[in-house]
Amino acid sequence: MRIAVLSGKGGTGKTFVSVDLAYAAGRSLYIDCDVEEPNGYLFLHPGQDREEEVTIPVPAVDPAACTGCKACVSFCRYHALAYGRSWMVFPELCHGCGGCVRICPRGALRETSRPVGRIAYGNAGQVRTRTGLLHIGEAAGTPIIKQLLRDIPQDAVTVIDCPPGSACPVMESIREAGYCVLVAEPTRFGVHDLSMAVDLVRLFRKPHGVIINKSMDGETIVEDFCREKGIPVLDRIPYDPRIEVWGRTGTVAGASDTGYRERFARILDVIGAAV
Amino acid sequence: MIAVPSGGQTPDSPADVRFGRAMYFVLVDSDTMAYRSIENPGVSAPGGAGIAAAQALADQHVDIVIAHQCGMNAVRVFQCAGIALFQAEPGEVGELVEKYKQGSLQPLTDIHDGYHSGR
Repeated sequence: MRIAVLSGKGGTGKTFVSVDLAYAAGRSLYIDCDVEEPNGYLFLHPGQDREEEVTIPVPAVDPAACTGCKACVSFCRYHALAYGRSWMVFPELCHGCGGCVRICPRGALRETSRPVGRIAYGNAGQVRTRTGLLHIGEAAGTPIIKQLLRDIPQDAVTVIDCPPGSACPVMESIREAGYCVLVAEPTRFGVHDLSMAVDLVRLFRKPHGVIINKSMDGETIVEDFCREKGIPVLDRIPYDPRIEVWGRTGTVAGASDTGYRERFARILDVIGAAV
Repeated sequence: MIAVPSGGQTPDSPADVRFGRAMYFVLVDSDTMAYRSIENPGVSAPGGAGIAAAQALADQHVDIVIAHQCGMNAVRVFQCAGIALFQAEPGEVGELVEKYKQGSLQPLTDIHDGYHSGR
């Protein structure tokens, strides 16, 4: 079972839900795809097994072979290449598609690799962890997310903690998921961004359900939205000031209060029945 | 050949304050004051607009660019192509070319890092 946890809006509780789902599942794999600011490890405290570098291909020129025809420059839609009196590349704009190398009529370009981030593999009790880390100054996290989601074992529950938003990195993160959990908070802003996340999971035809976090009595703005859209509400987690404390101290809610462990186990059962 | 970014296509158009996202470049022959304009391919570029614009000017064998401001990536292309960059003042394209010819424009040295919003 592969569950992606996303939200649209940031700060609704994706990581809280993700680490607690993984904790409640027992033997599981937690993958932190929020590569710009991964923080699941702050709750799970994994011991690190190994680290892996993530690189993307970037072209280099053989100046003796380059005739300055600019076929590569016209081809590159990201404008990562230019030609003045000599050939030049802007590595931070290169998406690593490899097209320039293939299109060069003289074979003057070759691919070199450029590090953009790393992946830390670890273990926290029964939860194995993968944490993606984008190097500072890099713009695109998707190559790291692609590599994070390679070779996912079939035999354990996998929880994919997605980045906020509903753009490319989130699309990449939910690609391998069998079910999408949308974490929403009962605010207008929360519902607005939830609606964008719903559009995304529907575009990818992923089964999905909503967890309302920081739920308050009498506040039905998310429920109303879900009813209107026909989206199942998996759970309503009441606002609990202890969660803020656990967030500060790096504690999994289910490890401090078995009520949370049971709550997330029930959510896993509901998801299991839906996929 | 001198290039000036502009919203218009003639020497009496005002110079645009933007470089990479200006609609056109007016190209003026400083000897004859003959001119033509080219569309800026940077206008429709999702990213790398400055590079695309600078490449288009290099392709036109421009020697001098007069602009209000310019980003680092475009400057790298200019350096690679041997194009000199001068600081524009408020005014029309033709006036700026005349000022350049009189030697009253300064080189553009205040280069910004770019207004890249990510991708």
